[in-house]
Amino acid sequence: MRKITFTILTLLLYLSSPVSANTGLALVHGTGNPSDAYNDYWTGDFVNSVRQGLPNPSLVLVINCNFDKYMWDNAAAGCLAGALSQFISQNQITNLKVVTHSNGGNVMRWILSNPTWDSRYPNIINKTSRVIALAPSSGGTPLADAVMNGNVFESTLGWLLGYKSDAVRQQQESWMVYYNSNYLSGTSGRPALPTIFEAVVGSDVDSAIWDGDSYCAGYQNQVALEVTQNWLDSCSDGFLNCSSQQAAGTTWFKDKQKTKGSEPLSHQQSRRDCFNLDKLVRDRI
Amino acid sequence: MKPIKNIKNKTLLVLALALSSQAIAATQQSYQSSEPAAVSLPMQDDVEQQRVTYIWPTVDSTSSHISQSQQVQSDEYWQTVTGAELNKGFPLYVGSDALVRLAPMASYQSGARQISPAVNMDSISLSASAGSQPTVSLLADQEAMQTAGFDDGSVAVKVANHSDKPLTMRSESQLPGDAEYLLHVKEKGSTGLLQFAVPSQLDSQQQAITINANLGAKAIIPMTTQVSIITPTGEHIAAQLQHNKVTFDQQLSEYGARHGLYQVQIHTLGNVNGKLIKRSAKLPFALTAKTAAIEKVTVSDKLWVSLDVLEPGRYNLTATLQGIDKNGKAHSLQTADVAEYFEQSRAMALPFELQNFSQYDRFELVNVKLTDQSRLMTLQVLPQL
Repeated sequence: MRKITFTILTLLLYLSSPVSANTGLALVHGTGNPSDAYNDYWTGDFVNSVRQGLPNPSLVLVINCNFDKYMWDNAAAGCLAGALSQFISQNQITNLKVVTHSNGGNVMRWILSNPTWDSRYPNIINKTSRVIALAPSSGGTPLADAVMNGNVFESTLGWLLGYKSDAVRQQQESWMVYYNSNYLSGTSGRPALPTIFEAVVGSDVDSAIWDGDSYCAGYQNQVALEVTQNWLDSCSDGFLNCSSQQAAGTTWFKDKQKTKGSEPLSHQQSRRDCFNLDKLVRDRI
Repeated sequence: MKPIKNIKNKTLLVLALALSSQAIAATQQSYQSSEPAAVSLPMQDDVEQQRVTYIWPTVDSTSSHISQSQQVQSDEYWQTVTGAELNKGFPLYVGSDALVRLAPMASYQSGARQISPAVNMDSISLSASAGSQPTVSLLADQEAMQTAGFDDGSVAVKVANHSDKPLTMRSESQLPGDAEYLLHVKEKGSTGLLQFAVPSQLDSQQQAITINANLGAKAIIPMTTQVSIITPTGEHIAAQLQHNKVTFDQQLSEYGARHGLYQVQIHTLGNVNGKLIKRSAKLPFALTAKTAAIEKVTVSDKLWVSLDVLEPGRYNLTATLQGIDKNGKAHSLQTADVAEYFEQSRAMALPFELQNFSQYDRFELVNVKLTDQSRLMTLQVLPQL
């Protein structure tokens, strides 16, 4: 009898191990080379709200890498792999959740799609159970094409895209078609990604001066994205068409389906604590 | 679990059957017909040196790992116009409704950056040669465009053309003749689309790339079409369109996609439903060279794939293992990747544990893809080995 009880207890402990898995969260920024993404890219309000969804809210890593480079570059995916590997080993992470924004989704997808590129990649892939891709530029953006097509001003659309960098070239729509067809997984007709990669899709920009919702993440940014939206589809977040955001993985939700007040998420708002986005992500990790 | 020795002979036999002579012959033939390429290697620090293997959690069921061509639909065009052209007036091709952006360009003369003076949209006139005059409304002035990030002095207007003829765009204030402006016209929702397709890869032995381009339902007209090649660093190479081939005199030299892609750019003018439509498009391609090739597969305790390596580098093989049961039915078992750094020709072991699949009579490798990771080039895609 004692032997049976011991076996059952052992079995229960074994079965409960996934619950006690050491869950960590990494936030991966978009295009740019930030030195303080916590404050400058995400803001503390967003990060500190999302991390409350973790069993141990201290296990959070905010990435600062050079995503002005091509996604496979050592300064981009190499830097991300180094930071994630260190985070995993130092904290004995067994279950990694990753939240990306914009081009950060492409860099993470590079790692997930090319496991043998770097000896650190397989362990990262095996530990990653879910990627929540906020407004991922999986299919590129016509605005990158607009910057590259003959305009020699390096600063054009720099606040959205970076400054005529490799990352801008990479995010031209036709270039992303090339990468998606040849080196990235998760798009239609291509091999599946080895883990969940689910997108939150921003579908519109509100900038009515009388509407308080237009002020979340900065009114000026909303006005700017209203202008850039003219070069995009009717379903877009001011930087990316919905079709681009939905090109890889699965769609978790399109903004108005779940946000507070059914508000749309502009490209700026999809990385801030706007319209309960932070709480939705918190409950998902 | 059966000892490896027990399955070894069986596996040897089945692989000999599975590796059809046709597949091997085809591989060797394509390899032998290529000259060794002079391909530079990226900095060693940037290329992983360790052997890395990975078994995918799900078996790859896609039939092909690589697209043979890229294609795009364009509802826009862009061109450079000079101050002299703006002063004189030049044709603006708008089918019905369009967004028109005009941006001063910068140029480098004698090492100094020259910026063309900004254009005030109030001084730009748009007119039709006959019939109703166009409706023009300001979309964003310089300040609004600056706020949106177009800090190059851009202005943007919405234009509705009510006639069948191109409009004339003219500056009422005199601009320096050598000033340059980027004109970008986008016609969202237009049915006058340019359909453009190019191969995704160009072998380094070739100096022509085959394109497929249609404006509306008709093939483009070479006489009213200009093509060019854009290098990964953004330089333009002169090219000519002959039938459906873009030829160029300059040797392309940047192999693979690691440092960017080449692009074919096309500008074309044609008649769609009685209106003159102008369109531009660009599509990327990678210049490739044969740096390695699959030679053969052998079995000892594992599956080994021999590579003929012409250039040192890191090579990745992706393959799906299929087991063939006694009824001849194929079962996809595992998909794996393996990559190693090669200084010279040799074999690498695939990470499949064959002893775990001893119930099968024989095995096949399908969906095989060889990639040069050092240069980011797809070298071979074979449906079956």
